[in-house]
Amino acid sequence: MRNRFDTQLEQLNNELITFGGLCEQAIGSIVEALLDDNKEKAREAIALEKITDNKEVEIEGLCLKLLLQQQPVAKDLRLISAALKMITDLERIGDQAEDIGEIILRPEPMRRKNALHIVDMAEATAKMVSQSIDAFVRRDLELAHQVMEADDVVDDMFAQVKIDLVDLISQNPQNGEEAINILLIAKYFERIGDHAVNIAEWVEFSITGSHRRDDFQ
Amino acid sequence: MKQRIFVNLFILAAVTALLTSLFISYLMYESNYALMKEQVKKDVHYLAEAADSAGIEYLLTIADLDETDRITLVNTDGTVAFDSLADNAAMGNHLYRPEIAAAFAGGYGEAVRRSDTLETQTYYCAVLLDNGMVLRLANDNLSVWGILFSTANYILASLLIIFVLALIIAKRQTKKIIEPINSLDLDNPEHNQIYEEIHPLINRLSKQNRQINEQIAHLNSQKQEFLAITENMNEGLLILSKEGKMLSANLSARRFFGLKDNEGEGKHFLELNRSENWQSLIYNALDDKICEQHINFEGRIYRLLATPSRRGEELTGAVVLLFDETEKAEADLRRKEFSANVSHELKTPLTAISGYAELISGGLARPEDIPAFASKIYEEAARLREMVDNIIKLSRLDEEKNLPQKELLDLLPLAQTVCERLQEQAAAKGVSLSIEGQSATVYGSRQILDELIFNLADNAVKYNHQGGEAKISVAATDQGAVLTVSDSGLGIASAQQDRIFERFYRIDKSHSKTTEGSGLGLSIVKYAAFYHNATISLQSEEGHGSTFTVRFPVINN
Repeated sequence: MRNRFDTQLEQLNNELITFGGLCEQAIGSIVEALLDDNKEKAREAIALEKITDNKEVEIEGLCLKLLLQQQPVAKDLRLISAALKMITDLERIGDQAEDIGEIILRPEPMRRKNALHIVDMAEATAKMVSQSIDAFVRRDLELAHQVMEADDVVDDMFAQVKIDLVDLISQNPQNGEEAINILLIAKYFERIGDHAVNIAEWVEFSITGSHRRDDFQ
Repeated sequence: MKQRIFVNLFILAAVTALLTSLFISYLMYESNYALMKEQVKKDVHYLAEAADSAGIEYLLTIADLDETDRITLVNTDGTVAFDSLADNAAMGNHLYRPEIAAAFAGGYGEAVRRSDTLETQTYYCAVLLDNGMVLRLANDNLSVWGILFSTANYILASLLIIFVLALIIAKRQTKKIIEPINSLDLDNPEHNQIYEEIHPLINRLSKQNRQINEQIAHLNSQKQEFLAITENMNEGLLILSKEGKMLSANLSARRFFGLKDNEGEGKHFLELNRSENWQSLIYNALDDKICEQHINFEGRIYRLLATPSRRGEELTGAVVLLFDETEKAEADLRRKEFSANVSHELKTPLTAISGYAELISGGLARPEDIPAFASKIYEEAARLREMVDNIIKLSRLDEEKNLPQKELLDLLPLAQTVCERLQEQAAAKGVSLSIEGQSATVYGSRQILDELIFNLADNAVKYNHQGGEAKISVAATDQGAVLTVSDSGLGIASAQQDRIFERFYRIDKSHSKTTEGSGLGLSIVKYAAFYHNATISLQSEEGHGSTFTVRFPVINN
């Protein structure tokens, strides 16, 4: 019975890694689509959203089954409850990658983006997502903390992007539409960064048993 | 075993003690019984003698003295005249009792039987008195049992003591027997001094020990061999189990996945990498399909080949080979660039040639222009030929086949001939070309070294100012021969210094013909230096000339 439980836990672990990989792929495609104006990549990211949605449902089912049938305790319980929270964040990352993809597919060109901090922001966010999943895979507390700290950097970049865009509009009000699109994208990236931090926090919880939000109480 | 030996020993002792005491009891009973019979027989005769001489009354006086012996007096008609223990009136006729009958008949009789009167096994002894009556003395075996019962306490006590002793001795003996077996040295069975009966077992044990050790040594050496092969492989090798868990990985593979030594065994392949290509590669291999994928990883390009591994019919896992193909991919890219460049470079002079030729053949050229056109055609054709020559040289160097033999050569005379050949060209450009130094021996090919020096010196002259100077120097040092070509010419910007050895690389991107040249010269220099295991370095500053230094290796023997 225990043996079966271990196999199921392993399966959960692997499913989570696969899910993480899908999200990484989605955000990777989006960054590429943004940097190289590659509409094909944007469509890929949009297509991935359906897959990530299904994956969330699948893993959720697995978690609930494990909780009900095996009544796990201690570390196993922490892993499963962390998994239940993490998949929500992963699914949101997939959604937001899709949203960015749709903005990129809009007919309005984005000629000026390469001169702006949005590029740095995209890359930094993608790295955060990768690192948060790496932290889960390797159960690496230090890497999880790095992700939490990187959030401030991404937030600063978001502020920088806003300044860039104000500048862009003041130069020529006709840039307004492009600026708004970029602002939306930047906001989505900022949200993705927050989700990566959430994942990192749940990784920390599954390792140590304490969650950062406990500290605020 | 210990329990068993102990129980057996104890049972043996207990049974022996019990049987012995039973036997002794029986013997005692028998001898007591015989003694009793003897006693009764004697007593009856004494009594008879006494009765005969003292009269029957005497019997009546002694009858009360003893309760154990029963004295009976029987009349001649068989009726009982007197009995010491029973009421004679109630007793029947005794005439036909065997002992009485025998006494009446022969004067003496004895018998053993159950007494109806006393209801015990009784021994009777009868004697005929002188007065015709029969005197009978009886003793029951109760008295024998009584003796036995009186000793029973002792027997039981001794049995108890024997049992306790047996318990202690059995325990001690068991321990003693078991001890050598318990203290067997199983690692070195042949060193044990132990029961002969166990020797076959010990021998078998030591034989099997030896076999196991040999097999372990064999396996170890095989493992070492395997490790020696795989660890030194440039290619990564990863072995996965059927469940997709890592069984082993060599150094290159561990480096690829960022694993430390001895880390990662038992990790699931998803924990190693989770890129889409990797997943599809492994899922395919574990689904019994050979699969190939390219993965870009940290700026390098890897080709991954996954093969399902099987034992007999059963799929046991997958073997993944990783090839670093960055260089190959880069070489492919270079080759593509080269063919693009070569066609462009060859086309430029051809366009000029065919243009001028068309003008002339179409009669569009004025007669006085024809000589100028012809000389243009000649120049372009010469340029074309030089380029083709250089390409041929380069491809020969590329192939590294059919290369000229190496020999011991002096660099100085070679440099001098090059210098002489270039004097005219230098004079035309207004550049002073000089040579200095001492003779220095290198091991190399005359033809290729000539190309090397010529191309360097040619560049020093070509890319120079009017009135500039170019200098070739040869020196022999402890670290081998050194050839230096310096000029006071245009110089090369530091950003471009890395690229000037590339084929067709021209500092002037427009491929202009302001200075002739194919862009292949330094490529040939690089290959020629490489062919001689020489290193080439460049110090240059834009506008202040450049110095190329070629250092040849020390010649051994």
